[in-house]
Amino acid sequence: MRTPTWAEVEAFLVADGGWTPTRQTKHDFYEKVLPSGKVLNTHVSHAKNKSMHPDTFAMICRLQLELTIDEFWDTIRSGKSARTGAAQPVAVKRPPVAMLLELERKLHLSDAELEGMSFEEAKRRLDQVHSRP
Amino acid sequence: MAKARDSLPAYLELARRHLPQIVTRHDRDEVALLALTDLREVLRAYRFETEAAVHQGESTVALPQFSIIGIGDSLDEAIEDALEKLREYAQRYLQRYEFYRHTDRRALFPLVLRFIATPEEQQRELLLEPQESEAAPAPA
Repeated sequence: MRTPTWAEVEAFLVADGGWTPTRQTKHDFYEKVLPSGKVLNTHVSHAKNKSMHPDTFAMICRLQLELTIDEFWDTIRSGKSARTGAAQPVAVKRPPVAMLLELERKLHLSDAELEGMSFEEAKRRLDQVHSRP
Repeated sequence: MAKARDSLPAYLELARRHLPQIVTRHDRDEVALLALTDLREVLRAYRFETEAAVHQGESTVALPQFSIIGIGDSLDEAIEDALEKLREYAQRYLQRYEFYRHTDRRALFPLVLRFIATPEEQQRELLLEPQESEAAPAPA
């Protein structure tokens, strides 16, 4: 899956419209109030030419921009908001950070072994650890 | 005002002894004096949800309640990035609470209070607490 650079995320915010800058620190932060009164917020890294992992991009679309990946790219292509209100695809449930840290600590799992681990898999591995005599 | 100023140490001492004090000025502008440890206890049930993903070269720790995503080269870096963004968010949230309390973000108020009432060196632990779905049932 192609993922956007941070410059493209910024271009998306301009095309989508309604995003206002809230603060500038290590990142630029933006906020948008939807007609329903719901508040969205996101950030843009200063490393504008850098891209991101597909999982991070999916997370940004789901949790921050609240649209589908197709709607993100349609907005960039058309230069105007392509929000349709379509339901976002169900994401793989990710484990809480405490579960991954416990797996790192108790099973000495490497990043390669933790790669993309789902909640169910993390729970299964931890249940095995906890059931050991 | 002078009377209130003179009485303040006594009120503080009572609050410190787990006796919250309600202070009123002109029958309005009510504020409560509450020991910080008591405030932390009151807010203890409010938990911070996290979603984490590890990929070689890029890890993420999301705080879905706040729409915050921490990104780093490792899980530890991603946690620190999420915490830094949450610190900034909490400050802004309280500064603009008059706005946020009329939005869906109103529900974040206890979480933001809990976060700022926690010493900075202990804030990381808030993200590592068992979440509702994992927590053991409360004793009857």
